[in-house]
Amino acid sequence: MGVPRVGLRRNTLGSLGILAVIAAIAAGLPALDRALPRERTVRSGTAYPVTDAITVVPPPGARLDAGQTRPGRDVGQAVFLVGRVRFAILVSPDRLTPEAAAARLRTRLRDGLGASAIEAGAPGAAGALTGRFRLGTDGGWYAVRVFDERAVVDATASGPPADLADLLPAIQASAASIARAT
Amino acid sequence: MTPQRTRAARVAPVRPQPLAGDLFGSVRTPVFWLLVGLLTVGAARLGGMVAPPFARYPVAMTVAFVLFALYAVPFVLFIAHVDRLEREPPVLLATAFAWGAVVVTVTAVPGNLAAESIVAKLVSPRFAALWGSALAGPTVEEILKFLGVVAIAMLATSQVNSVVDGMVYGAMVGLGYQVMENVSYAAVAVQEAGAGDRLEPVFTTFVVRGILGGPWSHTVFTALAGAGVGYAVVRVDRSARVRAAVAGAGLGGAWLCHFAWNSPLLADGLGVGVAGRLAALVVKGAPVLALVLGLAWLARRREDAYYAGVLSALGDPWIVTPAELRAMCSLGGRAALRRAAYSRAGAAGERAARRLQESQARLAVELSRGIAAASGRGGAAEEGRLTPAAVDRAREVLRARHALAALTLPTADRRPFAGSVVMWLIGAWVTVGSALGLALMLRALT
Repeated sequence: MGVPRVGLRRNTLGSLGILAVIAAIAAGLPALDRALPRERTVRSGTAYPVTDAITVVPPPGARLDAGQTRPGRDVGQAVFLVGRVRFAILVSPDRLTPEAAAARLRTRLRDGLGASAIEAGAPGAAGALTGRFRLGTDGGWYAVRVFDERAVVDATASGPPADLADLLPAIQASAASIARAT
Repeated sequence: MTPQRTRAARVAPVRPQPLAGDLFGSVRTPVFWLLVGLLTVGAARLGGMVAPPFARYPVAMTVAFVLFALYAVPFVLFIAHVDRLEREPPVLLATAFAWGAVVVTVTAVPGNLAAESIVAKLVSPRFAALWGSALAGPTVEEILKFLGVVAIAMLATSQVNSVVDGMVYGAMVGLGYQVMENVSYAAVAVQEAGAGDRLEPVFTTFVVRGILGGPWSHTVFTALAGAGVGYAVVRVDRSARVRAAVAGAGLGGAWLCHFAWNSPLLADGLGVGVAGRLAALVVKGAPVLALVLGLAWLARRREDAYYAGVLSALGDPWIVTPAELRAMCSLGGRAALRRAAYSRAGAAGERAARRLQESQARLAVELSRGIAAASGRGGAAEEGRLTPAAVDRAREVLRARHALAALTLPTADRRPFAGSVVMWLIGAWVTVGSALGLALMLRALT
């Protein structure tokens, strides 16, 4: 018993329709996302809210990555692009000591990003725990701060080693500017 | 034999079709190969997605898989129980589950990320942080899950005989996705904890997403969408435009429920802490669950009435008595008859009554297929001609009837009426879930 020709045609069209919608979601949406510009200018020297309670003053010349920035109420992240260096700040409402928060960030860098050669460095400005890591051929720098034992701020910068070395002072100054919103 | 055409039968809430060559015949349809292709490619991609967390956190990920697989069991039992008269083929239920777990998961991950990013770029990152998941999640996921129900309906149209069937397949698609999404959330939680291969994030995910958020999640949303697909397939008496509109309304309803669930409304629990947040979960979720259960109850009542009409048309009290017909169409009526059998003949009586009810259901379905296969409006049963398969089913009923009648003496090993295994399992699940939820709440409050 064969499938009636009308039914077969309808089945074929329906199947192609399903396939088209899946392709549109799996490939079309990402393509559209890539086609839209992701960088936004941010006002130089002005604090940018990462959450309702935490702000950061971006490095000079930084542009906001709108596709990855999500400033929420008590959880949020802001991603800035400074030349070829990516500077990300992640805020989470966790009750951790600075040491525990730094250990957590190192594990996240290793497990989540595949970072290697993760080293703890000397304490940075504003009581931040800092360190360095490698991400493939890129260099990386991180800083961890804890506010009122209730908000953990992870700041990471990664990019070509030479670019990172040039921009690191500005990025460290930006990390030091992370503060509670007034 | 005088056919009794009930209102339910006139408006055809059920559209049974002959089984002949159905599932095997579907191999010749394009949608079969589409499903094979998408499930194969999806499984390979899913393997690539879960392999890295499995390699990093083998214990946590194994526990997450086992925990959420066990979590799915009472859902599956309940879903199968909803359609108790005309059970769906396990292979189709498994296909629906696999669509949700595999195709929806691997497609939704890039789709959701891209959609949220687009929202952030077109509106603002702040708006995306608040409303991104409420807009992107339902739009991407509900469409993908809906397509799964459509694909099942195209693969085996004769198995979608009622609105209830559409809800059953929709629920299975949603459950598949719900399970895999929860496993992926557990993996992310383990990684975010930054403490290595630890189980605490898995258990926290299980309580928060599985127990507190699970009862009114994807399974329920897609059941609603599936109801629309079921209507579109069954109600051939309506115009294509009306059927498409109802299917679209089902999808729209699922989208709206999902949107409300993901939205930041009430996210702060009205400012009264954890208790308020838990209350917000109930406020957001319970109406959706009640809506879908109510819809399933209504659809099942109509389906029950249809099948009762089919049995009634035989006019044979050995096949079905008036009391049994009434029980078929009432909430808890069948269980009441089993309780009565238990009171007369103990556990053996209850089992015999259950067998009788199951054989009657099988006969009703078989009779309705005979009606559908027969030419003309009357049909085989109504004209007194039963198909060979229906004759076999009728003999089953008579055997079950005699077995029940033979058990007239009370037995010595009488125990309290046990109810159905399904309801016991679901009850246990609810009890454990409530206890875990309460423990979590107390821990958070103290």
